Amino acid sequence: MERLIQRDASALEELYDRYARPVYSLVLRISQQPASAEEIVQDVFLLLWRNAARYHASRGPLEPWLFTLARNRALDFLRLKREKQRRREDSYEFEMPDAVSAPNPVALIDGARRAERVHACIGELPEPQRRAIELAFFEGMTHSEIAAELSEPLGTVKSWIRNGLIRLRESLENASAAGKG
Amino acid sequence: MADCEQLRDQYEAYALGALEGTQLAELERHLARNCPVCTPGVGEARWLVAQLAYLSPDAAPSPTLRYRIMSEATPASSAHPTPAQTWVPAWAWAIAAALVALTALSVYQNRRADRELAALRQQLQTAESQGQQLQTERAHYVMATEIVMAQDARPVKLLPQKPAMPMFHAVWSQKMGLLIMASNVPQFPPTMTLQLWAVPKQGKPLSLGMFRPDQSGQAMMVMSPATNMNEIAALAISEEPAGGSLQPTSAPVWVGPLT
Repeated sequence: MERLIQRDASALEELYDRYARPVYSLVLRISQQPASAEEIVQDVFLLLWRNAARYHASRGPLEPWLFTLARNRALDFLRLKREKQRRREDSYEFEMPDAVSAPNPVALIDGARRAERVHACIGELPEPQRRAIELAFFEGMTHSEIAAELSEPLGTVKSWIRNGLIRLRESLENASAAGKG
Repeated sequence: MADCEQLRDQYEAYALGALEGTQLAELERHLARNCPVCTPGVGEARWLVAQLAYLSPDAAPSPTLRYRIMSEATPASSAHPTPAQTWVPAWAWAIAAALVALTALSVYQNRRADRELAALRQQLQTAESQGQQLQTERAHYVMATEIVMAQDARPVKLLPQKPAMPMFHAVWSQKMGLLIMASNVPQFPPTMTLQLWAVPKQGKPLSLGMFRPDQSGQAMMVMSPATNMNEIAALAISEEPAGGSLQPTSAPVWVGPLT
C-alpha cells in the first residue's frame, strides 16, 4: 500500500494480478452481467488507486476490505438497476468501507484454505439457511426482505443468518488451530 | 438503551447490511460513540462477512480489463497496449519520432551527398577540361616541334606596325604547317581578338585563324598545311572584333613578307 500511495503503477499491477479474479468473481455473482462487472471492477481498482492515501493499516487487511468495497459497489449497481435510477458515474459519491478487523489467528490461514473452508461450511448448511445468507450477501437484502422472499418468519431468518455466520467463524478458527497444530 | 452484550448478536447482520429498523439505528448510534467493545466487534464481523466472497463461482475478467485499468490509472505512462485500444501507446510515438528523425536525417544526407556529388562532377569537368586543354597544348607543341624540325621549315618575322609592340616569329613548312609565336604581347579587350591573314600575291587576304595572348603575354598558334603557301606573299595580323572577320577591318598590326 505504501507503494500505491507513492503512485507506483507497478504496485497497482501487482494488486490487480493478485485480487482481480476473486473481486471480479464476486462482482459478477452480484451483478450477473459480465460487462457491468468489468466496469465495477475497473471502478474498484481505480478508486483504490486514487484514494490509496485514505486507506491505512487501521482499516485492516486489504483483501476483505477490497471485497467489501467491491460488494458495496456491486450492490449499489444492483439497487440502482432495480430502482431504474441509474445515476451518472461521476455523480456517484464514493464512501470508503469501514474498518475490517481480522480476528486472529483466523487471518493466518491463507486465502485458498479460507475459500475451501467457506465453501464447505456454507455448503453444509440447510438450503433455506444457505439461501438466506446468500440473499443477504449477494442480493443486499435486509432481514425482512429475505423473510418475504423465502416466506419464512423474520425471527427465523435472523437466526439462520447469525447462526450460519457464527458456524463459519468457528470453522475458520478450527482450521487455523489445526494449521497451527 | 441496549448494552454491548445485547448488540453483540447484531454485529454480523449489521456487517451484512441485513439489519434494519430500530435495531440498525440503535447500533449505529452506539458505534458513533466509538464503543471500544462494539467497534472492533463489528470490524471482525465485516471480515467474516467478506469471506463469503469465496462463495462466488470462480470467473476471470477479460484480458483487456487489466490494460484498461492501467491505461486509465497511468495515462502518461507506458501502459501495455491492447488490441482493442484506439489510443496510440507511448512506444509507438517514440518509434514514429525516430522514423521522422531518420527520414529527416536521410533527406539531409541525400541532399548533402547530392551537393558533394555535384561538386565532384564540377571538379571532374574542370579536370577534364584542363586535361583537354593540356592535350591540346601538348598537341600544339608537338605540332610546333614538327614544324620547326621540318626540313623545309622557313623562318618568317612579322614586324610590328605600331610602336612598343613585340615581334612575332613564324615558321612555315609546306609539309608540316605554320607556327607563329610571340612574347610580351599586350592584353586585348574581350571584345577584340587577333586574326592571322595570308596575303596572296593576288586577291583578297585569307583568314588563317584567330588567337589571343595568355595572361603572361605569350601568344602561339599552329595550323596544318591547308593552304598552298607558295601563293602567299605575306602574313599579317590585325585586331578584329571578337569572333573574327571575313576580311580585315583595320590596318594590320604585324606584317611579315614570305621571301
